[in-house]
Amino acid sequence: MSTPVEITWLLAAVTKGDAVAFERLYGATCDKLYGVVLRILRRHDLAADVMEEAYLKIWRDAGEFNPAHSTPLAWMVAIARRLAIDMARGPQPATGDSEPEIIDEDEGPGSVPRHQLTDDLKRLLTCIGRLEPDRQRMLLLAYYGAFSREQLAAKLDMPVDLLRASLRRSLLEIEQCLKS
Amino acid sequence: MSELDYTDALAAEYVLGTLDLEERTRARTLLDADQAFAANVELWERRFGELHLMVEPVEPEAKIWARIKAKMSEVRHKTQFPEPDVAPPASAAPAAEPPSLDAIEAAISQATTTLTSETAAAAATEATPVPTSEGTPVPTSEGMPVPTSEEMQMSASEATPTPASEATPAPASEATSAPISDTTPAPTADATPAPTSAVEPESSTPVVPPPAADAVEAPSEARTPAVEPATAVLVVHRRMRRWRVFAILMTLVVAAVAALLAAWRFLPDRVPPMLHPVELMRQMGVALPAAPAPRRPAPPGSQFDE
Repeated sequence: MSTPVEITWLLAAVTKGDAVAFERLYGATCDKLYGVVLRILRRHDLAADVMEEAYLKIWRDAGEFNPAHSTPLAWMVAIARRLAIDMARGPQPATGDSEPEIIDEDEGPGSVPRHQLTDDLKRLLTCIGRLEPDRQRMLLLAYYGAFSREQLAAKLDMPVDLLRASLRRSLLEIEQCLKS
Repeated sequence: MSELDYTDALAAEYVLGTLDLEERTRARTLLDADQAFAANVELWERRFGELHLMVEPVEPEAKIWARIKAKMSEVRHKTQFPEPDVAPPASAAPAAEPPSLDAIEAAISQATTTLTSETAAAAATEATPVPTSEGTPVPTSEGMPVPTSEEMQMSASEATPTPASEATPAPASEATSAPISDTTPAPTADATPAPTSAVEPESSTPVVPPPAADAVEAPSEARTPAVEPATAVLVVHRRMRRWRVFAILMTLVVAAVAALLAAWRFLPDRVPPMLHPVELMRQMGVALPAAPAPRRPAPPGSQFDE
C-alpha cells in the first residue's frame, strides 16, 4: 500500500498530464478502489465499468483534488463510490457475453491494522461507537454496501420509516459528535 | 434533539448511499445546481472519507487498466498546461519514495562537499552517480531530480488544487535569479562561493537555473543530512518560500529597469534629470568620451522638423 504522500505526488504529476504517473497511481490504488466498488456492486463486470469511469474521471479532474479537504485516496474513493452507487441504483444492465459473477455477501467492514488508523478515522469510529450497537451496524452496512433504505430495512427486518428516522438520528449524532 | 433538515439529510444520505433512485437523481441535480448542497456533500464525504481504510483491497483484473489506458487520450485533460522545463522530470519524481528523499538530500549534501573541495566542473559530473548508486529511480541527467522532488513536495505540502499557479512562477523566477546571483551578493549565496561558480559551466543549457538554485541552497541541507520525510517537506517548503520572495524581488528589479528603459525610449522628457542615462553613467564613474552633447531624439510619432 502506498503512503498518502506518494499518492499525493502521483496525483500532482497527473494534473500535469503525466501518463506514467497515472499508471503508477492506478497501480497504487486500484485494489482499494476495486474493493470499495465491488462491495457495493457485487458484480465484477459492473465493478470493472465503474473502475474505468472512475479512473478516467480522476485522470481528467486530478486538478480538482484539494489536499486541504481530504486525503488523495479518500478523494479517489469518493469518486468511485459516487459512480458505483449511481450504477447500483440505476437499471442494472443485462449481462453481455459473460456470466455475471455475483459476489458472496460479506457485509461487515474489514478490520484495519492499528498503524493505519488515522486520527480522522479514530474520531469517526469513536463517534460511531457512541451509537447503540444496532445503529452502528446499520450505519456501517449502509456505508459499505450502499444499500438503499428499503434494502436495509429488509435486511434488518424493520419498517422503512423507523429505519429512516433511526438513520437520520445517527447521522445527526455523528455530525454533532464530530463537531464537538 | 433537533433533526437534520431536509437538504442536510439528503446530502448525508447521498454520501452514505441509502437514497433510492428518485432521491438520488434529485440529489445529483442539486449537486450541479446548488453550491451549498455540493459543499454539504463534500463535508459528509470528508466525514466518512476515512472509512475506506477498513475495506479489504481486491486486486482487479488486468484488462481494466488496458481499457482505461485505451481511453485516456480521448479524455481531455482539463488542467493540462504547457510546461517545457518541469514536465519531463515530473514523470521521474513520483518514483522517489519518501525514504529515497533522504538519499536525495544526502546526495545534495555530498555533492556540496565535493563541490567545495573539487573544481566546479568536476563536481557537476560528480553529483550524478551519487543518487543512482543508491538505487533510487532517479534519471541520470544532472541536477534534474532535485528540483522535481521539490516541485512535487511543494504541491504535496501546499493546499493548492491548481498546481498550475504553483509551478508556473517557479521556473521563471529561477531563471531571473540565476544570472543575477553571479553579480549580486544574494543573501542565500553568501556562505557558498563554490556552488555559485558551479552554475557557470552549465549556464548555456535551458535547464540550468533549477540546479543552480539547489546548488546554492544545498549547504543549509548539509547541516541536517538525515531529515525525516515530513520535516524535509517543511524544510523544502520553507526554502521554496524564501526563493519565491527572492524571485519576486528580482522580478520587481527587472520591471523597474524595464520601466526606466521604456521611459528613456518613449518619454525622455518625463524622466527626472537624476535618471538620465548620461547622469547615471557619470554617477557610476563611467567616463564619457567627449562627444557632442547627445541630442534629444525626436519622439517617434513626431512629424515636425526641429
